[in-house]
Amino acid sequence: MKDIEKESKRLLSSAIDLGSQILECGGDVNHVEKIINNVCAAYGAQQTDVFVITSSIVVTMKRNDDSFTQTRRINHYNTDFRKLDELVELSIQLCNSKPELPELEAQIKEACQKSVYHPVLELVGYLLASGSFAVFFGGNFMDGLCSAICGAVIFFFNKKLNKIWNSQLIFYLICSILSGFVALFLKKIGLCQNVDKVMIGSIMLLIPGIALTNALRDLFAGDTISGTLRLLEALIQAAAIACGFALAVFLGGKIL
Amino acid sequence: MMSYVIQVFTALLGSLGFAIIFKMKRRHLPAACIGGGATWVVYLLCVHFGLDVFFANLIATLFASAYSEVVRNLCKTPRTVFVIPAVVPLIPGSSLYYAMSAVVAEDESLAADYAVQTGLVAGAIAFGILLFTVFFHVVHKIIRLTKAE
Repeated sequence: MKDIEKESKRLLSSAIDLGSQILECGGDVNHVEKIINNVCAAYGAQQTDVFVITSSIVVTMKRNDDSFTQTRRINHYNTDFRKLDELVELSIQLCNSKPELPELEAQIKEACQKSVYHPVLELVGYLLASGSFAVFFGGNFMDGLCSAICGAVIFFFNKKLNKIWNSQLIFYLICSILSGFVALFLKKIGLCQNVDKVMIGSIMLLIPGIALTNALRDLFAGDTISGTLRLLEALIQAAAIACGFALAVFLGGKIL
Repeated sequence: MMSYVIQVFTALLGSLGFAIIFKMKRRHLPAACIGGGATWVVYLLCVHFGLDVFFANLIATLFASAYSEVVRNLCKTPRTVFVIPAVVPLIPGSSLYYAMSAVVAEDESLAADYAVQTGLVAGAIAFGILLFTVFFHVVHKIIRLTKAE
């Protein structure tokens, strides 16, 4: 009897692991609910009630006439489409093959750990994105180069310090102040002419595009709470970025 | 003309950068990259034919959604991940910046202009994605129903 109970708890925990990872990688709420439901049902749950919002997952599963409830808090998002694809595929596979529990846990872990991108390549992504958007919005080649430097600053900031703050908002605020200062400094030493284009390049890196599209998707799928939360998050984030750069321009004008 | 070529080229590179940042699979990178460039070409064409900012962004977003749906079927990915790198060149980063810098310069009417433009473009992108989703759901349902009969 105890064994069955333990097994159910472990199963539920694994299902939530899978769901929370998908949510963190940029999956939409509706999809996560469906996946947790499917996995639990595949392993013989009579009823599963899943409630997912952007910051937490609550699941109650009824299995062998016993109910179990577990909660998971989601603090950080890290968009990773490769992992998202892999985990969604894995979830479909799991529902068909139904491996034993240790095997299930191992498979989820394995899918989370594989990484196709070396950090250097990721840095190249940041450089490319900020550099080319500075030129895209009308900067010259040197502006693009300076913007790429700002992009590198944001990259290192993102990699090293993202998890220090519980609030992503503070992270975005500090990030934009910092890259604003770097842009002004580069202008000061004469490396670039159009400081506005340089800053726009780094704004493009920080802007909450994914949050906005996911918000719409959630709203459309009927998840009003998550949709509104994400929409509000995206708007506040955009405001924080604008404030950060404004602060940099304002202070930079005085100091530099 | 030259500036258009530069814009399309940098839109391609920028989309590639974003595709890498969002860690798309490597074999999907070329498609994501082309999506960004093609979306900007559509936008430029719309502007060329005299559409205003809202409708140009709307149509470009519709194109990006349709493109990503097609590519998704070709690549057989479970979800649409191509739409975000494709839409990236439309994101109103520059008007957000100019709104902010106008606020710092205490030019309120200019700030309001740019803020409205930022909202308008973001709204157009959102509306485009919604419109395509609705359209796609309806078509999907109709195809499924006719197949069932």
